[in-house]
Amino acid sequence: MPRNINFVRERQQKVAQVGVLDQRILLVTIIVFAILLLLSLGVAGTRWWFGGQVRTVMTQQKAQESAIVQQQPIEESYTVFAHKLRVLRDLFGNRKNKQNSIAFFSKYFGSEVIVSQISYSSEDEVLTFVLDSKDIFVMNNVFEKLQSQELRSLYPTLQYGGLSRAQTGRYSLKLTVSLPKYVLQKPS
Amino acid sequence: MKEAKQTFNLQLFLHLRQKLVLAIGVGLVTLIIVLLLGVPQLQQTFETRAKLQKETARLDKLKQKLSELDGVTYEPAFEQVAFISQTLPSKKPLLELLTSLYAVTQKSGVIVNDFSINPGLVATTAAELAQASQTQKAGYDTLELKLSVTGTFAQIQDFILLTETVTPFTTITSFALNATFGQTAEVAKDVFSAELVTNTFFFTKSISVSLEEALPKLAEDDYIVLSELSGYERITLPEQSGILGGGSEDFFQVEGFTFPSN
Repeated sequence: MPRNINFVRERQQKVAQVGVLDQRILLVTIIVFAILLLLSLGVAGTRWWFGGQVRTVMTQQKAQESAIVQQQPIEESYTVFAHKLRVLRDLFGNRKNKQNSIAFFSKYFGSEVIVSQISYSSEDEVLTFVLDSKDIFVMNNVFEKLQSQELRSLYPTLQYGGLSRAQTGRYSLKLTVSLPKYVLQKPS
Repeated sequence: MKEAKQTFNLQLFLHLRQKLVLAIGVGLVTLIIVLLLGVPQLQQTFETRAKLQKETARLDKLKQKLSELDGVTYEPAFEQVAFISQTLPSKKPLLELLTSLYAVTQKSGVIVNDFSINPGLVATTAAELAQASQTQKAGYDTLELKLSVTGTFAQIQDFILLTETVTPFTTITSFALNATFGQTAEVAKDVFSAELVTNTFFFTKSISVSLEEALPKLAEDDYIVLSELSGYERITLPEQSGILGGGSEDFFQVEGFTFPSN
């Protein structure tokens, strides 16, 4: 009995299978297309929203800028004021120590000792005093005061020397003070 | 017998695999949309977002500055603006210095024997530029005054201290004090003479500020300096309050001309 050979049927089945596969591929492609289209639309929308925000911010900036420009005289005077104050702050410390030292040494040794010479140079911040006393006993007191802890703690670099006696019997002694760095402190 | 190789039939392929062809078409369109529209859109979105962040930060700075400007007028330190301007003027304070010197001399009781002042330098353009850059860096320039004074030790000490506590801001850069112990006349006893060099400072810094730059903040040291400066004596130049003479004499004697009467 001859076998029934039907090639058309097999071919139809194969074509149907390929058709189903193609259908799936098309569906997946359309879904991907739809997702990407939606994403693109979303991105475009986001960009539009960001653009709107930028425009709003720019408008606000312009309003703020014009308000600042209106207050320009205040800004100008305050900025100059602050810069001047900084310059004064730097200059201030350099000389406060000198004022304090002159006031201190003119009183420290008492009324019998006269400061007969003072010299000061701002370059090396050194203050030189020549103390004058009427006799050796007063000068001896000066030496005692020069050894005191109070003086040594205030002026650790204090040096003295050049003791001399004039024909009139007066004694003089030279003090050299390297001025300590002044630190600004709150007034009490 | 060997089977002949089948040739590709486009029409048959298009007929049988329409959906695949359609899928390929959709895929190509998707690719074109992604490459030509999606990617640039995405890049532009990121750029716009970055711009928004940048502009928002600038807006915040502007708001902050405006708020500072609104508040600065209520700060107690702001009331000292005129005084600081007087203490460190923005011009060479020649007349102010002389007025202060006069006031300090009167107050301390010393006698000024001699003084010299150097109000300006004659220099080449190159030297001026070199000096300008130096002073620009420091933010100030100085006006030097040399003077010799005589008086008692207390008077000279007062003079030294007062010189440094008046406006404009003046510092003694060097001084030498010598005593003369009089032997004959009573008045000449304990007379001191002092040679001083003072520097009076004035502000030379040029300041540029951008619109969104914050106002400078005052440090604690600045407030201390303000507090110390508040004890300074303010020396102001006397202002002319009236006009003397004028309009009553005919210096040119033009024939037939008379001054109009008021």
